[in-house]
Amino acid sequence: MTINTIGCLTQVANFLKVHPGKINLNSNSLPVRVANNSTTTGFIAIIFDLLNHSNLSLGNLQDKAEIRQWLEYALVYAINCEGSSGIQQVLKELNAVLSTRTYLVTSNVSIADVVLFYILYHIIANLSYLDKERYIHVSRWYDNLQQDANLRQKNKIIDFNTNYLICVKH
Amino acid sequence: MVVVYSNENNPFTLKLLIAANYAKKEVQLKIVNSKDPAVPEPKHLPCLVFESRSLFIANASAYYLFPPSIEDENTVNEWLEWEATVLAPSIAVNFGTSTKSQSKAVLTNCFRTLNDALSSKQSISGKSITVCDVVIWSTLYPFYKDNNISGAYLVELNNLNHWLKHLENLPEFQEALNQYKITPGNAPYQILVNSAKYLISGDSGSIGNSNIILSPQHSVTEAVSNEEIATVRKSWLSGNENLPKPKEDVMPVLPIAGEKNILITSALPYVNNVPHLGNIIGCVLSADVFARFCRLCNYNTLYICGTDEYGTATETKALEEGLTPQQICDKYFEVHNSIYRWFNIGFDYFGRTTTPEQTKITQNLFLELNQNGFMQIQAVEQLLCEKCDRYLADRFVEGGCPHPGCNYEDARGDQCDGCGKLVNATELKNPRCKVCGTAPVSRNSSQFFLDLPKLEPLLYHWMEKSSLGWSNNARIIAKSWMKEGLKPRCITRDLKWGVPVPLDGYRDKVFYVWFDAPIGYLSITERYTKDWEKWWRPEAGTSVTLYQFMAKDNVPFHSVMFPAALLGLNRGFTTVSHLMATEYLNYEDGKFSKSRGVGVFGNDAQNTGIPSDVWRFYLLYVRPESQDSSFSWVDLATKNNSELLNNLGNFANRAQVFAEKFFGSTIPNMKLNEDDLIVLALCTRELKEYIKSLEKCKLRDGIRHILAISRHGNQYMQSSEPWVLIKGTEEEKERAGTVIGLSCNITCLLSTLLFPYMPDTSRTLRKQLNAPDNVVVLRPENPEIIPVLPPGHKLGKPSPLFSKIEQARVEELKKQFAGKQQVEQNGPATQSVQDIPTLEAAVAKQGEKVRSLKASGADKSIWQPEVTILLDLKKKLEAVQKSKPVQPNDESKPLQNGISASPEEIKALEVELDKQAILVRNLKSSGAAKTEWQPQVNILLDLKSKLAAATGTPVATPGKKNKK
Repeated sequence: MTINTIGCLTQVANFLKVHPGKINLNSNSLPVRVANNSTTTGFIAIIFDLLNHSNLSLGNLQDKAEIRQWLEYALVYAINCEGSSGIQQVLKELNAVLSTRTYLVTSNVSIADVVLFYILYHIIANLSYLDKERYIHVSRWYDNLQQDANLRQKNKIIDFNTNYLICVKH
Repeated sequence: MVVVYSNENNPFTLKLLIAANYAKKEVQLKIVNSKDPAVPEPKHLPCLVFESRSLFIANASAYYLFPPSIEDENTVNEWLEWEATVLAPSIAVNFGTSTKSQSKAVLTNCFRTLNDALSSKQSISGKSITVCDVVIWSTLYPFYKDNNISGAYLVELNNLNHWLKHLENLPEFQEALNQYKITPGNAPYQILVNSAKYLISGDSGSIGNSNIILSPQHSVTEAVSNEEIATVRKSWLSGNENLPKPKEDVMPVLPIAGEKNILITSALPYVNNVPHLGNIIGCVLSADVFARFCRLCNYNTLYICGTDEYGTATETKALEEGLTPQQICDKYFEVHNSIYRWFNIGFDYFGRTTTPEQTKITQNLFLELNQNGFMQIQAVEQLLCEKCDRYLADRFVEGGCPHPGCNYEDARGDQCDGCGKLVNATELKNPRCKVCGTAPVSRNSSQFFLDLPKLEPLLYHWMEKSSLGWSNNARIIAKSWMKEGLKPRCITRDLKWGVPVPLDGYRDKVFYVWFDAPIGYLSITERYTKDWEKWWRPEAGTSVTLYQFMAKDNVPFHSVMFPAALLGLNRGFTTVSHLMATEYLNYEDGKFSKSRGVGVFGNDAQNTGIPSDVWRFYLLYVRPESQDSSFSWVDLATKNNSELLNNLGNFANRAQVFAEKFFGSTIPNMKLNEDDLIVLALCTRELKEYIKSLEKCKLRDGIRHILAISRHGNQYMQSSEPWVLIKGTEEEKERAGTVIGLSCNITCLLSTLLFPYMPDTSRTLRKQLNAPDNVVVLRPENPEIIPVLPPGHKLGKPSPLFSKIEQARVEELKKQFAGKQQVEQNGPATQSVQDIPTLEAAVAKQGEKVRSLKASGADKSIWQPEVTILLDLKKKLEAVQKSKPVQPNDESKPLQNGISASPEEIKALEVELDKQAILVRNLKSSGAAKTEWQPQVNILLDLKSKLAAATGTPVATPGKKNKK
């Protein structure tokens, strides 16, 4: 988890084109970022801090609340899902949410999408085609996001080729 | 309007209500359950809904309702995150679930952190109450209100106690508590765990292990195009004239230039393991279905397999059973042969590796490889038992574990069961031969190594081309081996049971199993026909396509080692172009285990009364093609009853019975209308897909298409209602005839398509239809449905094809194969004695597997489950060993003498004996006369004989020493 958190924050900083500064974990295993002589503690706080130094807009108060919600979701659920049932739960929930929307918050890419993109990368990359089909809305959302080379960064394109898919009755 | 959806007694709902009170925002509380359709996805509770948005994370909701001032923002963010990631999950899991994975220490630490933060402050973030106070307080509230659980944690944490009480009395908090009831104690946390849907860690495994078993596809039928209609009409009207004839059986089958020549092998099963269902579906059954399909397509098809018989494991087994290795092989070969025969596995030849042909080919290949410079000799340190006159395989040596801190005395040469670490046989302390117990000596012995690094470029280019037709997992495993970089592999061993190395100075060595086992494919073919080279070294102009079926653990040998050897020969050997690897089949969500009696083994299947065709059907239906799958009795019964009985069997029987009753068992005249052509078009679609699937060895999909055809057939019967038509006008009667005639023809098509999967059923069905032999053929290049049973064709006698499997029977079988756990409680002693060798073998085998997997550079997700199995096996072995050694020491000795003495009695005798001995010695040394010491000596001797009787062993006489 620890590597995940820091790795994710670094990628988010790169995406936002903000210098990541020094990011470490403190004794409570919360990430701490030191940059420009100021210290920020906590995953969510760091992300908001990075956002404030970037060009990406946070949107209005309601958008911000939704973003906060997804960041906490990412932190409490997505980053911790290791076992099969955990992964299934997170994918199932996201799939349900994404079944009616293009992105998690508003109708544009937000930092919520970006953060979950990095956190879920290894999970999505290791999904079988069957599971990709099963969580079809997650797959569509993810495939859409990864087309942005700036967002994808060094991550390899994940194959969502549906030629070999076996149709699952939904 | 802001609405809070919540269930009852959920502490997180307090967060929202209190925050709203602070913000002076009106919220409407709606009590619902999480399944309520009004609750937005992902249905976590509480959920805040406003302006068509929703927030299901309580902290985000509370923050939105009651945002902090800008200067407090950072502190608040930090505390909120701490609450969300540390405090809330810990407290919820600790008090709300039975898993106490969160230790008390974590919570204690949390409370101390809070207490420190609150020193000399009224609120956590500083000056005034902020959202983080609200959130943390709400989470703690049920805990804090129940003294029984909080008392122990909160003593001496005065700041925290004070803060908890102080906040409770604030009006914003009081109002929320009055509005929404929270009971003290554990209950709210149980609710919290369920509504926040925390991921409770502790379940291992990755998503790849989950069992997703597809139910057959019921896709929405796409409209049939006019073109399709035209095509099926043309096919139907063309009649059965241009149907190709099935090939005549020839013996032996040989490849023919210009034709499709398919060579099929399934991994050679190791001779002394009784195969379980997973082994059967993994190789022999899958290969059989494909071979039958190829024969159906009139390809020249050769399917060979056999038992792999050389190696240490056979030697061990032979020692165990007191037989020679050859006798063991003969015995188990028959076991395998009869199992496969029962499962209707249609090998062209089922051979074995202990044949002169095997020796000849293996030795020739080795000599050529050596000549081509792909062999190297390296010295390997090995232990030699001089008494047994042989080098000891790792598992034949035991001794003290060499790892510091582990004093386990009986570590084996490959691994220590005491500490679980891997051991190098030569590093064991005081090693001893497992057979005779003497200490072996360490010798350097020279072994041959296959120079894989030298072969790597050849192999690399070969794999680029060949691996296109491999199953996905096979390709991944092979690629990961290549990526690791290949190392020279030892191919010889100082053993006796194997093919001897044909070079002077090395004749006492044999080839290691992995080198000679795949050569078995060649030698077994030679046993089948002296023209074996036509298959394995085809002449120019003849092409042979090799399909190899196996479970994924066999992939490295078939994708890297064996092809490398063949390429090194440079003699135009046929190499694998279709390497079809399956994943693992589990048994009822666990593993098959011979030693525990869990799962169905080959020989058990025939005793269940379930026909082999149903076994074949179900195993292929759940074939672990893209991921592990599970065998389940309930599912077996369901699939039998719903798919075979109600779908396939029902359709096949219905049309025939109708024809028998109303048309005198004759196919009536058929005049096809639009409806008939549509059903033909739909079935033709499935037929095409069936052929496509099978050509790609997607055997699981093939079944689906068969079932889809009979489903179309059933629907067609149902909507045409021939039973109504037959009572109507002449025209309607004629229509009924068409429906029945067409249905019988579709049934006939099914009998052909079933042939690879369920050969017996296919045969029975053809007999019932009195179908001519030439229907058993497919034209893969142009699949079409033609009236193979023309009007006037006389049908046979219909009878039901399948029978129902009752629920009660399922329960019985489930119990029968659930393992010996119940038995173990009744007779642990007999059980354990019997089990140790089996368990040891299992541990050794699993250890080998884990090592090779890890060495293969496979991903953790691949080897982790295997490691879990290994640890599990070890635990069992340990438990069994602990229960065992007590009895032989205590019981065997008294039995020998017929006298039993308790340890106390023996002790007393020994003490007396010592005293008497000292007395005698003192008397003698004092120079006393014999008459004086003789009576004392007699007493001493008497005592000694008593002691000897009690312990069953003669005691050394101290007196004698004195005399000398």
